[in-house]
Amino acid sequence: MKTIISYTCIGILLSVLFLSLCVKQVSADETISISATVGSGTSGGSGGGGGGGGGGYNAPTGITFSGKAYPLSSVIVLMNGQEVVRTIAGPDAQFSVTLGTLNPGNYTFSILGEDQNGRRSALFTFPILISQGATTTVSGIFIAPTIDVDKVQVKQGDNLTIFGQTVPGSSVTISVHSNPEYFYQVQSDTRGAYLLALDTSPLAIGNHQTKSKSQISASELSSFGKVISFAVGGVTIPKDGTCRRGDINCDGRVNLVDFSIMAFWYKKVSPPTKVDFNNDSKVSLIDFSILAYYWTG
Amino acid sequence: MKLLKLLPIIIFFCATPALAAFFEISPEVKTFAVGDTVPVRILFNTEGESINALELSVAYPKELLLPVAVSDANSLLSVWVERPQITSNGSIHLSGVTPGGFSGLINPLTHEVGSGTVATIYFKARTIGSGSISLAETHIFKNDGEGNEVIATITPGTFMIDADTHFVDKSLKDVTPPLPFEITKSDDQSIMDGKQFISFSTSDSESGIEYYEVKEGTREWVRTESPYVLLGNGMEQVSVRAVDRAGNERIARLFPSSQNNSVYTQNSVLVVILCIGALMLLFYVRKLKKKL
Repeated sequence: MKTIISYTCIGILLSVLFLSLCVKQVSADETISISATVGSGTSGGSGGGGGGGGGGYNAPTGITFSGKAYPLSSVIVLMNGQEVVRTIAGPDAQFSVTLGTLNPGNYTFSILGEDQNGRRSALFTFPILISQGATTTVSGIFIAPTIDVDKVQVKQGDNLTIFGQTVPGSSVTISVHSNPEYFYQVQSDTRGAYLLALDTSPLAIGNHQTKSKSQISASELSSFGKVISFAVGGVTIPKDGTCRRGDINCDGRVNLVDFSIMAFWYKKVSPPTKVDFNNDSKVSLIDFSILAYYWTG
Repeated sequence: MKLLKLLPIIIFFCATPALAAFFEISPEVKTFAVGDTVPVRILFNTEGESINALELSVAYPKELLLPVAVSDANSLLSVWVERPQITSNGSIHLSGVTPGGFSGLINPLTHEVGSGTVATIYFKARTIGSGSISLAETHIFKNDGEGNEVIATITPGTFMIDADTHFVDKSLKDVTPPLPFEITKSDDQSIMDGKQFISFSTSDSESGIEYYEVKEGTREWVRTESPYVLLGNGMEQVSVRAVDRAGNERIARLFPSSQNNSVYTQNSVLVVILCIGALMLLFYVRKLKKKL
């Protein structure tokens, strides 16, 4: 009898343990719901659960994007600066994504790629007029390569590694902003990865910038992507995960949260240095312009 | 179904050389009557230059025109620093950014790259007369990561108010709510005294956003802008209502965040420790009884 009671107690305790681990962890997920209500009119309707509301037309109004990113990478579409849809590129880096339930009007779309290591490309942005009953196709997009460096500062004469991801088998041109500007060419491998061990001997002491672009053929080439800064100095300082420019809260993204922090300090006295990008002791539209340039969504 | 191919435009769009940017003030009609309300669009053409931030004030003859509303519908600016508003003394100012930059609006029907709308102002004609609407304190910044300024020319919009040339607004009524949006909750120890705040932004392509309201838990709706510093402890549901100028609304809700749910995680750890302790105690008691 005592044994039965003991095992019953153990069973109850294990059940409590199981429930505490399962049920409460499930409730820990943040959930967001969206609903819509139409104020007046006859053709409108309410769109629930995040769908588009209103309308009354059956003809599809939307936009399709297609092009090249990086093999098996995320391709993210921002609408007016905020993520609305994402897809995964194929092993050949090709992607296609459609937004099919838009209202007519002017929109600013941005396409960006996120490589296997979470690095995001520069935005490919274009404002466009979406017409009622028309599906607009934007093809031939070639997302610029991602880029990073392994050191914040490199000792003059030592090597700096510049790397990133693009379309497999493409020719990558890497520019190093200096006086004069240097150009280097490397090939991306079968996974789209590229790497340049840059000999910094010819670079002057001071700050420099680098960026890259990719080319498959004479007609298939990307524009230059993100600009990454590094310094050439007396000692080498490895990269330590310091926040990138524009990333005020250091979460790896430049988005509406960073914008909000900066907006809080707009026209206020003595803002923190991290929101005063141009070091003029105030937050002005210039700082917002710099933030918008580094926007990742 | 119309399928519009844009590849040639995109190539053109990327290769357009930079000329001189300009603003154009464009009233819906040039002549209208006393008492009419006329929309006036502020257009901006970058002439190929990529810009990502601008601010401006509107200059108009206050004895002739009364601004009654301002709309951000279809604006080339995606995120507002200062949403276009009419102050109590009748001045109109706005500033905002467009992440990734704006080089011109693509029209896939005509294959043209042209001006984008910054904002639309609705003026009511006060008395007979003629004049022009222009801009002041304009600042435009390049999408270059350095905040270099772009100089733009301004073409004022001229108008005439008479007694009988009435303007009839033929635009369709907006029955579409603002676009769906998300609320993001954050905190930052170095600012806002470390308090939690929420960020949100949306747009409405037909009539524009009129205002936002926030509701925390059982508190009343409060008219506000993003960012909004939360009054509660973050354990309550937060709702944001975006209302357009036609009264259509879109509500986004954010339920208690994962940050606050760390309490649950802590509780789980506590339950595990208690369970292990209880089991050990049970076995110890059983052993003790066997010995006895």
